[in-house]
Amino acid sequence: MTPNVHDRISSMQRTLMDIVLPAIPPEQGMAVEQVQLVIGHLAVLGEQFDLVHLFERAECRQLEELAAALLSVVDGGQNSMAAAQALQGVLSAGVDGEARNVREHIVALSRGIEQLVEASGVDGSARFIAASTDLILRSNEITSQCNRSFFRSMGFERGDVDLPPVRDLIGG
Amino acid sequence: MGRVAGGSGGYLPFMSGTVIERLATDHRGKAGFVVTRMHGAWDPLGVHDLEPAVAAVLDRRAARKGSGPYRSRAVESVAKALDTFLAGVAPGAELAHLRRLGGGASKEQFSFEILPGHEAAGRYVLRMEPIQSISESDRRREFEVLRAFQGIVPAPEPIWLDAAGEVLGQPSAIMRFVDGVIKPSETVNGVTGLGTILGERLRGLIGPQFVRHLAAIHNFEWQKQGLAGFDCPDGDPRQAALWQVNWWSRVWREDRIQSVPIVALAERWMRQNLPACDEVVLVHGDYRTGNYLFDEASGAITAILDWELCHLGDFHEDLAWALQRLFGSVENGRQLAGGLMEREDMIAQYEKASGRTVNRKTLHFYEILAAYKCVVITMGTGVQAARDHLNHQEALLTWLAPIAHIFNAEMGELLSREPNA
Repeated sequence: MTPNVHDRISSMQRTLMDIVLPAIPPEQGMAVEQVQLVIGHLAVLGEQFDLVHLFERAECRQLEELAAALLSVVDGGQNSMAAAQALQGVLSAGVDGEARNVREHIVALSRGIEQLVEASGVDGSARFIAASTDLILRSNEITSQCNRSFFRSMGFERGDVDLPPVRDLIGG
Repeated sequence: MGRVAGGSGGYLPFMSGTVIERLATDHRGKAGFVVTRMHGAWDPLGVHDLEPAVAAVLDRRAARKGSGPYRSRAVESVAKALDTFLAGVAPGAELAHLRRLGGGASKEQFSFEILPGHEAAGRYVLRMEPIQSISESDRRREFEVLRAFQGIVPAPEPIWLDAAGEVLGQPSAIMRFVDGVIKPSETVNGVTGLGTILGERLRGLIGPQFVRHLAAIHNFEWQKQGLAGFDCPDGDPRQAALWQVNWWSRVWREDRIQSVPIVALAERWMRQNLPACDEVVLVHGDYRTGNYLFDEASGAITAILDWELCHLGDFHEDLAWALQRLFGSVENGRQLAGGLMEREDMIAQYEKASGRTVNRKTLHFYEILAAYKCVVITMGTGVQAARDHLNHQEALLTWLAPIAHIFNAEMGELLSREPNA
């Protein structure tokens, strides 16, 4: 039996706050800032730890849906169709369920989508430009909201912004 | 110099071996032009048309990436190098009170003094480049532009330069120290000045200066100053915008850890909607609350900071940057641009102070570019620099990265609507 992740994070935070921070001379502003940042990171990591796997799964699903939707309307010249074929390959390969491969699949899918968008800037049809714009904007609304909710405790969101709890967004 | 030619369609001459052709119209029926061949090479997105000095900075950056990991400079090591440097530029000067300054993910910064009894006596700030700054720039350009603006707007006085880092070990510049704060001393919020709440008294004092200084920067007659380090995007009205898109999309391509669909969409949209620039001005490049110092008692701006991204371009670019929602604040339910005044007030005051008319469509383009740049910096360069240990502020860079999701949402919102007429 070992201490769980939350207990380990909490003990590190207390060490930094109670021992390390008071030992730094106040004129060492940079060092003080760095310790404060590390304490903050640890707090957020503690909050997110139990959700990371679900979060990545949700991100992966979102990208798969976007890729499939883009492929269903793709239309254009040689560059666009070649990029579409490559993206279809990534999508078809799927993911085998290991967390590491979920991350790798996310990277490959997002790269494939980027390449399709770039190629459509060269020879995509006007219809695909319009359709892909709408699809990406809709997907971005969901993705941005998920990410902003996931990182809300970092304090960058204004108080008047309404974000649902991340568990509601990722099905946790 | 490469010059993009504008016009009404068809094939237009560019550099030798280069043509521009009308590309597909976008979903709203707008036509875009792109450079399709450059020096005979196929360049379907026109990504190679970049200000030469910026291209050189990015080439240098790419070469330096392999030399990591970067170790933050110890104060003792900086002191030794500074002693050697000062012996060359200010013989007899005695260095004292050298200390590291906090904040800033762009440069390592130190303050120091030269003791009384020497003609160079006074306080200074030393800015040194890490291997990968959050926004790569050229110390010589920064130095040149700061020198040009002395007496025009409050700005740090540049004193010494070690552009290649031959003595100081890293490309470095030394400025005279300026007193002031970037946020009221009671506030606890905000890294890099984000979300700064200035309060009513300071808003009233700082707001008009903020706009007046921006207008003064744009009204600066750069043509008469012989700014040797700067190239002018004047071959075609769209080149000013194209250079910016190419600058930041190149950084994104080189730095991104993971692609992001909305970023790709924004780039495609920008390439198809490059606005014409009617008048080339000197653009500050990072003009916002958080990047000026002020005296808390009087509310006087004592220095406009962070000139490193300065370039020649379109005045809308700075205005769009200053108007970004994340650089503002919400006070009593009102969204305040730069934490200073409402958006329309800032635009109106800028028009009055500068004598220019703001084109809303052009402003819209540059607001998308501004959000795009912020994503590139925080989610691209920042994350890569932290992952590869190339910067002295890794913990700050990874802390800042999630801000990109707010800019992504902003970009999506901007791309989904037409600009106000």
